[in-house]
Order: sequence, then C-alpha cells, then structure tokens
Amino acid sequence: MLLIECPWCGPRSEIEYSYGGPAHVTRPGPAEAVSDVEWATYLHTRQNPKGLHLERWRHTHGCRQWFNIARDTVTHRITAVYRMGEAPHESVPPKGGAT
Amino acid sequence: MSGGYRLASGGRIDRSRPLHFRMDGVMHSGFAGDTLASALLANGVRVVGRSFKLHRPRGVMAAGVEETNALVDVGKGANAEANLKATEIELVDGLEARSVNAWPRADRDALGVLGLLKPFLPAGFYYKTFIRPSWDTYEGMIRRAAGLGHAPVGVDPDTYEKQFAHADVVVVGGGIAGLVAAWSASAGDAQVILIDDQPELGGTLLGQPVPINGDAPDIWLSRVEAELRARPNVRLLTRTTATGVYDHHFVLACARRLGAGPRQRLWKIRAKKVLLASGAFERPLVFPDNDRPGVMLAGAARTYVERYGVAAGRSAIVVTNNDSAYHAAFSLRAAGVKVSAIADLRASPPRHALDAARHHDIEVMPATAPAGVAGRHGVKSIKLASVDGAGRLGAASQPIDCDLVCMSGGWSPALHLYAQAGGAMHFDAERGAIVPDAAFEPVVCVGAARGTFTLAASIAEAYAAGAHAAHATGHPSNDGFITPKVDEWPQVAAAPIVELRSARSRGAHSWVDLQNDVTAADVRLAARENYRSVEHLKRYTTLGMAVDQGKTSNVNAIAIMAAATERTMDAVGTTRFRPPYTPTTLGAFAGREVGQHYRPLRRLPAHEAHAELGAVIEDYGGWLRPAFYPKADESEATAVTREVLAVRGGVGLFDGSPLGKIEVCGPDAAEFLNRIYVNNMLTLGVGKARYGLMLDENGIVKDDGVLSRISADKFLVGTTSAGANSIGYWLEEWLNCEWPHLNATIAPVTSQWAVMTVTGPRARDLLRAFDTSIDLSAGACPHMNVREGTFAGVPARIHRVSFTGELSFEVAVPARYGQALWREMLKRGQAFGVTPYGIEALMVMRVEKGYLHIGADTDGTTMPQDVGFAEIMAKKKADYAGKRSTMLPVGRDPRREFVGLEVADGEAPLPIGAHIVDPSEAADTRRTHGWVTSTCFSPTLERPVALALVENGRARMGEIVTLTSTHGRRSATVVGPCAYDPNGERLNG
Amino acid sequence: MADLAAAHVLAHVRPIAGRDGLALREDPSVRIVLLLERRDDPGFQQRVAKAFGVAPPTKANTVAKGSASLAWIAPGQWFALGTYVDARDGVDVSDAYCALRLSGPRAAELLSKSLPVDLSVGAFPVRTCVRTMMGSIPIFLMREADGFLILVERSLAHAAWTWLADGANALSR
Repeated sequence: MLLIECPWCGPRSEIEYSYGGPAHVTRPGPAEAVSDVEWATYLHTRQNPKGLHLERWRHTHGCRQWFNIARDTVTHRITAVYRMGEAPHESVPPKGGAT
Repeated sequence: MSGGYRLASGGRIDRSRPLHFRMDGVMHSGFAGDTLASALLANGVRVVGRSFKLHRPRGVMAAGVEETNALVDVGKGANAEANLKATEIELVDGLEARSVNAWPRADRDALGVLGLLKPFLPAGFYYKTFIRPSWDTYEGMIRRAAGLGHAPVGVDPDTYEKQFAHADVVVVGGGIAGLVAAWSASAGDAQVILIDDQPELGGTLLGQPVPINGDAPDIWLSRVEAELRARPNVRLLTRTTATGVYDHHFVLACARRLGAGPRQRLWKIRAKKVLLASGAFERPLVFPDNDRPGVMLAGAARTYVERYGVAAGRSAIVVTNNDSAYHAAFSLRAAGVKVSAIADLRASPPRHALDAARHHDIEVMPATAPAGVAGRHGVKSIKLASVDGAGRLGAASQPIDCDLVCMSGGWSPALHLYAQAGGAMHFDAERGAIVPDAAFEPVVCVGAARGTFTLAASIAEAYAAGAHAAHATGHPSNDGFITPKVDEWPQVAAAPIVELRSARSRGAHSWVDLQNDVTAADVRLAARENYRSVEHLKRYTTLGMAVDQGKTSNVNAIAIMAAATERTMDAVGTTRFRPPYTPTTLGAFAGREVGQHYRPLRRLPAHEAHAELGAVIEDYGGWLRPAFYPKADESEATAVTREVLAVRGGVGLFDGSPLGKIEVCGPDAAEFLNRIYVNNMLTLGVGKARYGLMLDENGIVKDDGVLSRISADKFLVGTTSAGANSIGYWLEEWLNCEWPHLNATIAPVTSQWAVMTVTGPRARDLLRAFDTSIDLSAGACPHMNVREGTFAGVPARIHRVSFTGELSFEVAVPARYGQALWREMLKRGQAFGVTPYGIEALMVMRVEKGYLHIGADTDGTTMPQDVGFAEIMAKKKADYAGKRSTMLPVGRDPRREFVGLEVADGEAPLPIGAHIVDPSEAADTRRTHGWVTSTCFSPTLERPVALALVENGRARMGEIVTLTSTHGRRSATVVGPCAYDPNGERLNG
Repeated sequence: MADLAAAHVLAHVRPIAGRDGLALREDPSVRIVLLLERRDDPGFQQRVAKAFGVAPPTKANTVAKGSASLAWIAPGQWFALGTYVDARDGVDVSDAYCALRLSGPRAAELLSKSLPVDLSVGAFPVRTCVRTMMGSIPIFLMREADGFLILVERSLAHAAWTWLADGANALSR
C-alpha cells in the first residue's frame, strides 16, 4: 500500500486516494475541429512505461483535490508531487513517461 | 506414555502443567510450552502425515514455520482450521488434531499404496497422461486422492480484529539480532515495533542456545526483554507473524490471541524503516530415502531437546556439510541419546569441530554421506558412503541401526519479506546461501537473514542497523549497550550445495520438496524437457507450491537445476516470493468487516417510520429502501399492484431522499454545467427545471437527472440515487483538472435533504393540508419548476417533476424533519386515501411511462442518440463532455435504440434479457439485434409492458420481431417507449 | 412555528459510557456550515473572520476557534462548527451529517482499528482535523480538548455507530 503525499494534506495512505491515469493528457477541442484519430488517441493511447510515470491522483477521501505525481512503476518510488496545472517537477526528465 | 521420549528434565516446558489432546482420535498428553509437534514426538508418534500426491508416510522434519510434513487439521465443524503446521500449534488442553491427506489415520493410510507408483508418476505426469478424452474425465478422481486438509464447514464463529499502527522502525524477528536492533533503534525516542511469531522472545537461541557472557543465554535475553518492555516507545508483538512487507514500508502482521475475544488481530503498520531479522532456515540434505519419518533437520532435533525436553529418537546419526549440526549431536548426547557418528560431507572438517566431537566422545567420519535409509514408518537404519565434493557417492556401507537421522545441508536466510518488498538477492558461495544485495533501503536485513551466521557479527550488525534507522528517522540514539561476549565457533567457508547421488542407487528417491512429492529426478527431468526457468520448474513440478512455499526446498532445487543445466545458482535465479509469508486465515483479512459491517448500508431519514409500516426493506444501490408496503399477508405482486393503482387513481407517497443533490454555484456555474450536460443549460430560467443527460468522454450515457436553477448563479444538480457520490466526484474532476479557470463551487448536499414525493391526481389536495409559503397552483408552479420557501413551518424546496407520469411534487426539507414530514403526510393524507409506495411500484410506473432507467435500459455502449436525444444534440453548438465521441463513426453505425415492445393480448410479460433475433439467419451465425431491458405487467393497462434496446429500433415501429430466451421463443411489436398517457396530460394537472 | 419535530439520527441507540473510560454519544446540537471560497473573491476571508471572530486557517487540517470552530477540509473549504453558526456565508449542511463525540483514554486506540491516520497526540494534536475513511465509512474527525468529534454522513450514522460500538466491545475483552 503506497504512502502518497497530498500537496495539501501531506503523506496519507493509498486507501484515501484514487488513481486517475496518466497526467498531462491534453483534451483536444473544439469537438468539430478534432479528427477521429486525434480524438481516439486522446481517449485511448497511453504509454504504460516501465519506470518513470507522471500520473494523476485524487485525494478522494481527504481533501478531494486532484494532483500529479511522478512514480516509478517498478519500484513505486515517488520522486515528485505537484499540483494540477503545474509543469512536471524539475527533477523529472523532459521526456518523462506520459503523452 | 507410549513412547517415553520425554526427557526427565530440561527444556522450557512446564512439567507441572500437563495437557491432554487427541491426534487422529488417540489421546495423548503433553505439557504447557509444548507445540503439537513436540508433544507428538514425546509420545513416540513418528508418522504424522502423508504426502500430497503419493501418500508416503511422513514425520516431523522441522521445529518451526518451515515444517513441510506435519500438517494437521485442528478443531471441528465451523471451528476447524485446515493445514496447520504441528510445529506452530501451541498445545492447549483438549486440542483435537487430525493428520491431513490420510484415512483413517496417518500411520495406516488406505491410499498409502500409491507410494509404490512413484516410478510411474514423474513430474508432469498428469499433464502428459490424462489428456484423452479430456482432463475433466479424471479431475474428480485425482482431486479426491490428492490434496491436503479439509475446509471448515459453516460460518466461522470466531471474530477477528484489525489495528492500524505507525512506527519509526519496525523490526521483524525477536531473535538476538532483532532484539539488539530494537534496542539500539529505541534508545532515543523513536517509536519501535518488534514483531516475533513465537510466544517468547529469543528466536533460535531458545532451541539452539549459545553461552552469552559465560551463562545460558536466558539471563541475557530476559534482561534485554525487560529493558525493551520498560521503554514507552517500544511495542513488542509476540505470537505475531509479519506476513508481508508492502510498498513504502507497509508491514502486515497477524497476531494470534489466546483466550476470549477476537482470535486474531491483523496489524497494519506504516513504518519509516523496516529491519528484517528473520533468521535462517536449515536446509535438508538431498539423499536417497531422505523422507523417512525420523529424518529430521539437525537444528530441529536439537530444539526438541533444548526447548521442549524431548528426544526425537534413542539412537541417532548426524549427517552434515557444516559445523552447526555438531552442536545437535552434543545436545542429543547430553540428553542421553546414543549418537553413533557424525558423517561430515567435508573432506576435512575444521579443527574446532573435530576437537569438540572428540571431547564429547563422538566419532566424526569425514567425506562421508548418507546413501540410503530403511524403515517405512520410521527410520530403522542408515547406509553411509564416501562422497566427493560434487556429491558422488561411493559404495554404501552395511546398514547402521538408528531411529533418528539428523541432517544439515547449511542455512538459507529467510528473505521472503525482503524479496516481497522488491529486494534483489544473489548467491554467496562463501556463505553457502542466497543473501540480500547490499543496498536496498526499503528493507534492511540483519543477522542470519543477511547471511551473517555468527552471533558476535550479528549483534554488531544489528546494533549498527538499529542506530542507523533511528538516526535516519530523526531520532538520535545513545545508550549504554554493552556488547555481550559470545562463546561460539568462527564462521567457516560453506560446503557446496549438492545432491548426494550414486550411480547404483536406482529405485530410491531423493526428495527435494517433501510436501509436494518432488524429487531430484523430477528437477532433472524438468531440465531435460527444457523447463529450465525457475518459474517453469516450479509450475511443471509443483516444487515450492505447497503450504510451506518451498522454505526448505527452493535452494536445493536451484542447486540441482544449476548442476543439471551447467549454470550458476544466480543464472537459475529464484522464484518470486509473494505474501503472505506463511498461510494466514482469511478471517484476519476480513476482520470485523463481515455481516452487517461487510458493506455499510445507508438509511433513510424516515427509516424507522417505514419499518413501523411493515415495509419490506431492501438494499438498492447501498441504500436500505422500502421495496413495497405489504398489508397483512399480501404478496409482493398484490402489494405492488395496489400501490400502483392507488397512485394512478388517488395519491401516493414515496421517500425519494437518496436522489443525488449537488449545489453548483458561482458566476460560471451555468457555463460549467452547459459543458457537462448534453442539453443546453444556458437557457434554463430561474425557477425552472430540466431533465438532462450526462455522458462520459466515450460518449456513453453516464447519468441522468433534473437540473434546476435556484437563482442566477445557483443550480441544483439532481442525479440518480446510485450516482449521488460518483457524479459529485466527476463534476469536481472536470472543474479541478480540465476547466480550473471557471469560477464555480460544488457542494454535495444529498444527505442534507429528505425528499418526499407526493404523486397522483390528488397530490395537490394532500399538500394543501399543510401551511406553505409556496403557491402550488398549476399556474404559479407548473410542471418542471422549482420553488423555495417554507412548508409545514420548516425551510423547504419543492420540485414539480415526475417519475410516475402523474401530477407530482417532490418536497425537500432538512433531513432532521424527514421522518416527521413522512408521518404527517400519511396522517393528513388519510382523507385522500394516501398510499405509501416503494421502489417496485415506482419501477412499474416508470416502465408504463417509458422513462429511462440508467444502468437498466442503458449499458456501456448507449449513446444519447440511442435514447431519443438526437434532436437536442443537433441543436446544441457548444462542446460538452463526451460530445466528440458521439460523432465518431461508431455513433452513426446501426445503433441499438430505446423502444417499447408490445405483446398480444393475454400473453405473459416478456422475459428480461430476451434477445431479439432474426430467424432467417443461420443458427450458428445468429446474432442479437437487441434485448429486453425492462419488463413487467402493467396493472394500469392490464397488460404486459416492456422496454428494449433494438437495433435501428425507431425505424422499425410496428414491426413484429422474434425474441428468444431460455423461456423459449416469443414475438412482439416494436412500439414507442411510452405505453401510458403518451401525451403527458396527467403530468400537468 | 414548525409543525414538524426534528429527529435525532440515533434516537434509537443508547450512548456508550464508562467502559474503559470510553464514552460515545450523538451530539445533535452541532450545526455545520460549509464555507466555500470562490476564486476572485478577495473579501471572503475577511467576511468570514468578521462573522466568526477568527480567520479561517490556511494550514491544511487545522482548526481555528472563534464563535465557531473553523476547520480546514480542503483548499478554500472549511467547516464552521458550533452550536449556533451563521449560515449566510456558506451552505448549511447540519442535516447532512451526524455528529458523534468520542472520548476516553482508549478513544484513539478504538479509532485506530479502522483509521489509517496516525492519531498519536504528536501527529494529531488538539485543533487538528482530518477527512479519511473509518473502515468503509468516510468521516470527518477533529480532536478537541475533551475528545474527538466525528462527523459521518447522516445516512451512514447507524452503520458508523454499530461499527464503533462493536469495536468498543472488542476493546474491553
């Protein structure tokens, strides 16, 4: 069971959180200007890397806020926690994981 | 006493407290402090179980958690526990144990003859043999013959507890390394938890004592324990097994409790540092007939003498490849057991060992190994042979009489928890063991668990690790620990791990995994058949898959595989260890979350009022809600029919409190909601309500409900009862992640309001029996409007919306008044014949009306255009969640559309789930054209009504379709969804 | 005048008192207002400070005490808790929750049977609060000088009560 540091509430047990998929997936729009392929990529194409992964979590049973973390999918080591809308943490290499 | 193997003195048992127990129905006795295994040995019981496949007689081999043979079922009926290790069961008075996989009892097993079949049952035999006509033909027979204990019958009457804990340092293992590590870690104010699976602390020293400061180790151990107990920052958990170490220092430990109250307690501990001092397991030697009852690990034989006061035999031979078994020989000799010889595989055992053996007057035979053991139900004699460094045996000697063979093949660190946590390991030939890699922060191993096999080095290592852990968690440690002086032999280079094999020993079997009947020959067969990967080896031979999970067999198997494939130990590798470390009762994981606590159900504010009315209350999406309100001995169907007709003909009262309610406020609230709903919500006027659909990003209908605008910047989102929580989260996700610039707030208020639905032609009459500030006339508050004010003297919000198709008012009041409002409405409504109705009647009425029920009439493929929203979608220019997906080609393909189905007069309702098929399609390629999603008999129309998703349904109005189900074939006409009052005249009264 | 009587959520259960010094009861007097700060509303915190005599705490999971206790529950969100709470600046959610008061030397131990949060006084002192899970039940928990205040959704109050009462039983054995 992971110990995840909420940017507001601090370290809390994984059971308080929900996983929300890869971070930094940009929603294309407006709908009429988006090709089918572009939309399908947004919906379904994910990297699923072995190693560093930038991903969204929500402190569901705490402050209910969304945030991002950088997690190693092999060791579960969490190297960065940052808020929604913020750029990936500087410790994260530029081509880190997510689309 | 049948055997008389109990020693007159010595051991840690309490001879003043005799205990009586039964094994396979036979009464025996033991003492407090015994395990079932030590008590059986004391009573001369040699055969304690049968092997998994071949029913070979087996005896106690070990003295701890690694035991592979002595499995028993304990208790009766619902209290029974299966496959417990006799070495782990603390003896209590009245204990009832049965050997597993044996009938009628272990020493006279009817299927024992299977053992003769071993030559015909090599690894993979089942996979190769039982394939024609199919495995199913044989499975039942094979499963009856094989297998272990019996599952308990009935619900477990015991209770279990869980407990969260938080610690700076968790130390696993209460042996000398663990105690020293806990001592130094807790010298400051670090919170330390020490976990040990035994009733008393001391670990291996309890059974294999080494003098400390010139005394028996007890004296030093009890001083350390007393000091730890006195420290307020230390928690000692004995009788507690650490079953798993998970990510981020999360340790799971299961505590066994004696006496009344919960039987076990599962500790869920979040630590900052984990130190593993779990010791090491002694390895068996692999030689012919090494599974005979009476062939025992040398350390175990010593433990039975020193800890339990039991001699496991009267005449012993010790066979070993290392020093430790010499001490077993000395202990046995001191206890009065004849020790004929120590056969040492090493060509030149170290001088200190030879000197000590001479001192104890025990002959040492270097370069000598066991070549065979006789005695089916217990060792009778052993043959010895010369051996070289590769394990090749020379000519066997004449049999030497003995009834106990003490073997030692070296020691394997117990790295299960370390490996679970992700730690890497390698083989260290010098130590003759698979040891942890040096740097792995999540779990730090100390002592024998690290391959450090002398106490002095273990103490130094553990002390440093404990101090380091304290410092690393911000707790300086500084105390007066005095390193004790330990009188022990130095650690010497280990002998290679080899199978002891003779070119002439055909027919005899050298067992590697005793519990699963896997031999060295099976491992070599796997190698020949190219199951060389250690994971393939495991699955092909079932090695290491039994209750003991290969604690004594894995390393030997890896060595044999390495030799057979001419690879190194590291190249073969180890299988992945997974939690739990040792079998753990499922009840411990369930804890108290069983029965009513399994899934907490929600109660309505008027729960007791419903119960008083005799409502049948059931679980609807996690809420306890009235299904119907039977009068006297009414059946469900009769009650539901009565309730429906009462609503249609007069007035009904329904508790709709669980409907989801979310307040969305702010200058951008309208814009935000417009991006959520398929409908245009910008045009919704103040005081108006609108039915809307929400989609997920795949364009699939997610939820529906009524959105109402309370004021210019305040909306109330109505969701389905099931969606009350999830839609709140979902709205927050959009606002939080996608549109954070929108200025809006979200407040879930579902539980704040009790909602009573008054519906039927006389609904307004009932409301007029109450004082209210709200004008409820048709002109002032028409259908799909919302008003706020007071009702019956309390704040209220009244919606004119309808899920029954009748004139309806949903009256919402603060939940504390819900029960009183329900009672008053029933009381004052008596004059109008008010009838309380439940979910079942509501469902009938909504099917009559063709109202969509999300999740029943829709599924994970349903888009809004399928349920009649095409026009609304076409008109809305703005983007909204899921919109783009509805424009994908899949959204234009022939789609299953929401329609009604009508059957001929006098027919029964259509079966739910019946498929619409085209009989002209060939039977083997016939596909579904849709299915019945809702169906019932309509009391109002006095005929069946049904709703369905039908391919191109709206273009097929009037078509007669064929339906098929397990109830046979039916036909029905495709019609519009609404069967009752299609023009909605009754809504607008 | 109200025609309707207000019902206590747990009118049907008997408070637990005295066992191991453990006391558990419903406190129907607690009013709860949810304060939600909108973006672009610089006057919000001042208005709240004026209404309650104390500024809403900006430190996560802490509580400030004025005419009501202002408990941080999320960025820009507070519960105002007290016997009389002005609901003008927020959403009255008094009826959405049931307030339980738990006290006694073993109160934290009882909660720790099902709460993943460290409740030691060092980690969770007086005037701190947390939203978390108690087993399968979401709760709000606040430590006050005389014990814990627990808010549980009204519909789950009965489940929460029986869960705690059963746990208290096991505690005393």
